[in-house]
Amino acid sequence: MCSIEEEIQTGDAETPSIRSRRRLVVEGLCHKCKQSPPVVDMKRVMYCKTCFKESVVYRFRGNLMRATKIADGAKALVAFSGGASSRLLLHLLSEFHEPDPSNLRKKRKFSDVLICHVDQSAVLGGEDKEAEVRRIGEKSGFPYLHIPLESIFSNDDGSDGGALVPVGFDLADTVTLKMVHRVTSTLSPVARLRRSIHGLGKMTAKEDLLHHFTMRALLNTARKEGCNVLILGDNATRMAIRILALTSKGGGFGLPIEVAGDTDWFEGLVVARPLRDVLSKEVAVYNQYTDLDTVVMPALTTAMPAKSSIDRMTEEFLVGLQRDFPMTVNTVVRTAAKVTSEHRAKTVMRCPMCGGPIQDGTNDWRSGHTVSQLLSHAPSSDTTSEALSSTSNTHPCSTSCACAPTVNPESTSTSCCTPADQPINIIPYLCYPCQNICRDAQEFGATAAKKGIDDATVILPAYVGEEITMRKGREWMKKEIEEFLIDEED
Amino acid sequence: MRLCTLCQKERAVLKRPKTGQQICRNCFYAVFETEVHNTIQENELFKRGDKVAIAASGGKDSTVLAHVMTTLNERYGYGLDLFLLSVDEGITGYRDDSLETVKRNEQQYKIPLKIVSYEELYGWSMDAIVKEIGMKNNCTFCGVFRRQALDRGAALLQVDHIVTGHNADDIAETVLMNILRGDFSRLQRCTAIRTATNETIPRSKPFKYTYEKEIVMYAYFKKLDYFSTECIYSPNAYRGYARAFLKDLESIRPSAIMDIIHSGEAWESKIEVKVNTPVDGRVIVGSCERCGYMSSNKLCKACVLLEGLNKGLPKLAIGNSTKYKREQDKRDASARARVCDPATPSGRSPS
Repeated sequence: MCSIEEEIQTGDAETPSIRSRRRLVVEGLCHKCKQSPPVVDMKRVMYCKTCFKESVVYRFRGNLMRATKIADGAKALVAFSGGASSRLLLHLLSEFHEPDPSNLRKKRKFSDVLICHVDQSAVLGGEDKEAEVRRIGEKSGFPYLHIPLESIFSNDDGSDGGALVPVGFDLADTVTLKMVHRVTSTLSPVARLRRSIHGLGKMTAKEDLLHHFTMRALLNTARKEGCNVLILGDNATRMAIRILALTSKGGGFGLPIEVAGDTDWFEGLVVARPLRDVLSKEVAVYNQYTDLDTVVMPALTTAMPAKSSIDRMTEEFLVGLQRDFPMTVNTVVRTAAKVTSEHRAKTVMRCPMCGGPIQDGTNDWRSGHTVSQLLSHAPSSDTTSEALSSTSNTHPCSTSCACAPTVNPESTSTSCCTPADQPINIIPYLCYPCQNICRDAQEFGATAAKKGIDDATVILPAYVGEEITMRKGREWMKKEIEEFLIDEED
Repeated sequence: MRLCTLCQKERAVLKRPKTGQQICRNCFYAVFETEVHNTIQENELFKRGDKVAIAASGGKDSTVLAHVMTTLNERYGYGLDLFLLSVDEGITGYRDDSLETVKRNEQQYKIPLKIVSYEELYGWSMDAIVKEIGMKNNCTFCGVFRRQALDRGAALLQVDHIVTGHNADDIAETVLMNILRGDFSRLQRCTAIRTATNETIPRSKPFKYTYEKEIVMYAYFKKLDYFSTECIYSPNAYRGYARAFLKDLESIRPSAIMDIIHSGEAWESKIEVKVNTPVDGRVIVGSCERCGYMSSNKLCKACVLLEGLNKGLPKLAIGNSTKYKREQDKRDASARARVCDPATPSGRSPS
């Protein structure tokens, strides 16, 4: 296909003219204050050290003050990994939180600030660096919470929540991942965490699940500590990578939540990203000027080739493109910020795995446009319903179960049956990108099972199963009383 | 011997690019055709008795499209009256050869063929245009002219619908491109299967969910003959980045192309475009004062480009044309210059 837009130029030859056209510029002096010699060149603007730092602080504060969803006097939880962006976030927040010396009666935006570090070392290694992260975190003066990632396998009260384990794999059936809830497990929480990540096979899925787990741990902690705001250190470059990667993984429906400067999608909490328009390069330069020490943690794809995962590949691509076209990151972030989807519609369910929105009709869309089952005698719509019938029919459980049609629905409340009763195919209950994760797990598990290995397959935290069971119960209840509900549109 | 995962009867001869499943030849044809059929049915693209023009370039996509449309029309009794519609851009060594393929298709499928040429519509062939403006920006002319040429050809044939061979890779690539370029309004439109206003002939893409690799595979196994040479004038600078990235994504996770389209569909705008009908007090799509084709400015892009060519100012209205605008103002003080404002793009193809 031909491109009809050939206007884009590499810009090298253009640079001086673009510079001079944009604003009044004094050659050899900072473009902003026009007093000191410039030391930084960011997107063709030359700043002196002071002006550069000011511009970063300005954007950070502006983003927080503009975040209308954050109530004044809110209690904030800051996610702190130890990396450059969250280090900067911590620094800027502690400045931001200082009482104004010129006006002591002025109210502060946040009543309290807590730091939360989710310790991923069970999966990623680097246990020796945790002490350093703690040292930096505690130095900031805010209370420091250390949350091991494996805590997501426990219930809210800290008791053992069991786990969701798979039951059998079928090499030919890629749309089914049957899992059952086991209340007790011989595996320690750390071992469970490792198996759930490493039972996925593909690096892309591993990174995604790790991200969901981390987010879950942060949200849990924020709720437990009674915080109203969760502040994340995502910088513009990171956001742009995430936008492209999420798009490539089919997560467009939930994108508006991921790119929002502040969002109240998560129940009882606002998630804010005040560094969303600060480039990673700006973060690095600022940290260097301010002598902010950071801890370099290994990631899943550290020292791996670019093609090892979608996220890693996207990073390579975008950072490369940013070198040639310096406005790429900003363009991507701003475009994505305009995107709208129907994720706020009333009927939209939350994904039990990632908490994101589930788009209606996802399962039919996939089976209709990627026909992966035999259809020689049946039209594909039948194949669809057949594939899902085991899970999405009106009576989710067998007749022996509490929510069987003969039983009064009142006696069942919302949990129609204990998850341990019956294996569930979890895939139809997940959002589109999480379905992709489970398909990887299914494929990996089926291959492993064929080789006779069964201790390498994926396991999931109990909450995934609980939420699916709850939803099945609700769906069944709704079906039961449907004729008595009054439709608003009638 | 490995058996086909779908029918468990025949020997598996291929690994399906979209799913990685190992399947036999017949099952491949079956899933390929069923997916296209599902797409047509689900979106209700045609009505019984519709006259449908297949935009045929002679390349792989349109050759396979012609084949599949004929097959499905017979198998499922769509009751369509099919035509082949080709545009002759006048590129020696490229289009003249590919048009031979289309002419053979006309014989094979017994579908009438209509060829419209740039030469007769605009008085300029692409060869002549390239001679005038050089190798840079020539795709702008070709793209703008082709969109109109197809519509005019379709009007001559009096068809109700045009189908084009855009495949899933093209659409996914366009989604990525529009994000990277920050083209928000196109981002909202580029995944639509059908483009239509109240005054133009609707166009649709039955191969929207079909992988490029599977199209090649289909042509290979069915021994369809097509013309496979890149256009001699096409450099495709920026799109090349998106294309390379998409290929890498596909190699990491084969469903990536579908996943991108799925993402794009979630952002589709539900607003219907109507010609000469104001939305919020502003006419978004009007018609060109000169030729009557839909346009967002007083003159449509094709007329502006053509005017530039005929006046010997071919760079008019391409990219940053302030310099050329000034030159033109000097020569011709008439008020026409204002329509050449490059900041407001005219009604170009949404993809």
